[in-house]
Amino acid sequence: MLDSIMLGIATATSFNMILAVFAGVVVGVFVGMLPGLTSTMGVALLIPLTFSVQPEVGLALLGGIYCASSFSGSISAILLNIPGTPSAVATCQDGFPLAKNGNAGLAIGLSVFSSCIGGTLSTIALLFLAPLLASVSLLLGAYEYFLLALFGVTIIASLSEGDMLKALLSGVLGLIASLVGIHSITGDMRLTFDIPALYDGIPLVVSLIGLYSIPEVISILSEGEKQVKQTTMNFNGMKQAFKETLAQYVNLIRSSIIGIVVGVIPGAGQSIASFIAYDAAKKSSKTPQDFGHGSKEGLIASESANNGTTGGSLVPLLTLGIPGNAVAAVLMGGLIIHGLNPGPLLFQGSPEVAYGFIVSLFFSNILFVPIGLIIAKYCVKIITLPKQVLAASILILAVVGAFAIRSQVEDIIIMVAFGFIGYIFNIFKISRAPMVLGLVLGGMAETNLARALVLAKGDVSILLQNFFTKPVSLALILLCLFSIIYGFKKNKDYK
Amino acid sequence: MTKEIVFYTLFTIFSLAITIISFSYPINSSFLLRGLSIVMLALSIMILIKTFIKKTELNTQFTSVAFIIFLMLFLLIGLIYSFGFLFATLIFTFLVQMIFATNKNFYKILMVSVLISGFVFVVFFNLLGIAPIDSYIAIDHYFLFM
Repeated sequence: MLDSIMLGIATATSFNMILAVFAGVVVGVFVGMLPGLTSTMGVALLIPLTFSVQPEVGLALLGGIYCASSFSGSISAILLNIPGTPSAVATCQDGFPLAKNGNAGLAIGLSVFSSCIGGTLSTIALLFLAPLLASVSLLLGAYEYFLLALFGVTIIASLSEGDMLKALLSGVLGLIASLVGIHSITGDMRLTFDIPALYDGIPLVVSLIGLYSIPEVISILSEGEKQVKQTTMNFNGMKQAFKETLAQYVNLIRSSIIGIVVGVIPGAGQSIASFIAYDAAKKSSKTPQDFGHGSKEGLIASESANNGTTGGSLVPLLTLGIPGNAVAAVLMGGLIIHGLNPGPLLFQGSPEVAYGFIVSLFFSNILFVPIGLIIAKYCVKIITLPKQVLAASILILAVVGAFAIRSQVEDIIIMVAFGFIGYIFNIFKISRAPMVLGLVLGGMAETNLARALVLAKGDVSILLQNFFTKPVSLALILLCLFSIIYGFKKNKDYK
Repeated sequence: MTKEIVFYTLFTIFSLAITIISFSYPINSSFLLRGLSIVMLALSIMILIKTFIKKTELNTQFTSVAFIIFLMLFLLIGLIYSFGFLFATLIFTFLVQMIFATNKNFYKILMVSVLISGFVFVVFFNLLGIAPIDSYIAIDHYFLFM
């Protein structure tokens, strides 16, 4: 393993990789800072930019965007009281009151240092957990992989906001959409309706760009102009911020661990981690009354947990091929485009990519400290960019990005169609995340089910018998059922 | 009838159609598809029934913004086929800004449109080397420098 880590360090310290991390972090800070732009959308829109580079360089760029945008949502949350990303909502509660009291520099400092430490601890967990889990997952067969894919969809449906039935419907629709095109084993066409652009299936990244860009643009344009109360920061509080962050080491480590654990669970996103850590910090605080009024503990907890999820969410992606959240699903699209199959074999077949990517995440987590501070100080006015300029730019990037994947105008139509689905889902309060997981995991589910059927000599009764007699397979069936029951119970409690 | 009932009725019909179609493929090629389409049909019927019996109505608002955006996107696709990417994206960004800007400063909007479309064209088609389509009026090819 040490050799592989050294290989990763050698790969990640090449000029191209460092340049990619730098570019990714700069773009990521802007993406996270701009309200309406999410990490998922940022990564999806920029995947086409990675086509012409080596896979590890492309992944380093996307990883940089992921880490930096996870942190920079806090910049607008602290300085403007507008969460740049949904996960920065918890940060607003204490970040903005701190800034309003003239401590903007200190608040940004606490946010950037705790995000950096949370992200770094999370990457360490990824570095050591992922290869371990990957070697265990090599023991899994077709039956288990099929059920893992189903489990990915059911768990994300159960943890999504809103109605469980609708979330399941979204996941099943995603799975069905992923089956469009030629069957990987028999070669038969399904659901193509004689449209040549669908023969190779629905391109994953194209559909993700549509699902995550068009509905956001509509939402940005539909909102009225917000009255922004802007505060400014200076660098005076940085030394104090660093000392105060380290002084809160128990809170920092606890929140980072919460972030890592929540990140590993497919479907549980950054917002959940932030709020759990915030709540845990409040419960163990000596001054819980300060929470919501500028508590430094609250700010550190939400930010370290938020970035703590980054590495955690990549653990199931790199080891099992199951993305931990929507950003990881989009990253998976990036891997597939480069001809790489996320899963246990990635560490054996392409160690320079797997370890190079993980090591590059360390650099991303460190690099966003100076870049984030400089951008927060000098470029915060960009947040007040006219919404029509932002909307036009996102739409153009989405259209050109969708075309760039296969150089087909038909892909733009597919992207718009998925944008329409995303918009309809928003209107009827159907979660998009299960559909994304369905789109990503459908191929894996079908290929492994076909393999399992071959192993069962084409006999469905033997197939079913094997599903229930293999211990891991049975455990996964129970987990699927548990996640569905949990989802319905959560719905009932919510009502 | 509420919008929700209309939507889930249409979705149930769609699910039924997918189920019927999936059974028209050979079993070996549609084993999972058949199973999933039945699950989708069952889920959409369950949601439809739930929508019928529930008392509260979901606040479903279709905005004119969405209609304009989708219309503009289809216009953009038509423009791409006609003039290629550079000119099409320029017109598109200009129109989006003119429609949604509160302060309609013609020259400022035109300048921003040129900057956005020019930047995207240079990055994707010149730097990344993505080949533009053969539009009816092939303007893009005159702007490929690399």
